[in-house]
Amino acid sequence: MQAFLADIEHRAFRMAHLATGNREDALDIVQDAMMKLVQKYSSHAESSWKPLFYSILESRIMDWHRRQTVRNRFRSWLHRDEEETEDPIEQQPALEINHPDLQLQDAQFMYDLETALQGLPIRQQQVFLLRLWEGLDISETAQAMRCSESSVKTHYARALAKLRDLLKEHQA
Amino acid sequence: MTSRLETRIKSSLDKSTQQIDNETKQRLFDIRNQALKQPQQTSWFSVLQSNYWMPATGIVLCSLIAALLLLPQWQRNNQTTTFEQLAMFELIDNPEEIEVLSDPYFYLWIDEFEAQNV
Repeated sequence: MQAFLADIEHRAFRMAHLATGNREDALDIVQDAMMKLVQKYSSHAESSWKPLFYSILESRIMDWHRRQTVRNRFRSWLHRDEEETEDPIEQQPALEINHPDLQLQDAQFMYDLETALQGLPIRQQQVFLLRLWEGLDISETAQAMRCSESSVKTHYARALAKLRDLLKEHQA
Repeated sequence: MTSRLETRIKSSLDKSTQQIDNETKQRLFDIRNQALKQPQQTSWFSVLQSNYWMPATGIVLCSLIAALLLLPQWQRNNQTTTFEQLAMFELIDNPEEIEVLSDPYFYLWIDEFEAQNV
């Protein structure tokens, strides 16, 4: 379990961070997911940990979005939007770029990629990251996202089409 | 099949994990340790998967053997008791038997008399 969590913690954090845009909330989500996995599913087969962990993570991210939607409605009703809005640039983790001249292009691509990913609907974003980055197959992704395999395929295709469109200037 | 864009996206995302700041890495390390230290819940599923079933099966088998050994003896005792009770009941219930008990010498004489005449 120790090795499994150590292996996925950075990717899980980045996924949660892309979904929430807030470092503290992303850390809270990862903490909840790790706690629940260890507490409830340690005795399960090791091969099932990854889909289980991402299922919990996805559930926490969706909860966060639901709460955020309610909070935003409440705030907009009170006209207090400007007061407590966090600066998204401040919330970004500091990037340690050792060779700025060589990595400028990559850094620009990463910035545009993050913006594009954050612009995707949350389910599309999650499916895309689980399939492409985490390497879950269609059935594992469906299990983690608690949806059908055909929904996974649809979400992935739509996400990829949008990203291709948003990142077309980098594909030359 | 993975396209060039998908490969580049994956590579960029991998790089982004290496660029997580040290403070966040430390927080993640602490979170992991905290999660691993907490007590784990034992579910029925995990009980079935674990080795708990071996001693449990042993206890059940011992109980079964004991029951199989003791049951015939208990049944025998129970049957004897039942026969004695039935004999007693018949004795009480039968009016002729009561007469025999009330005047045994008369019936002894009749038995002897009938035996001599036969």
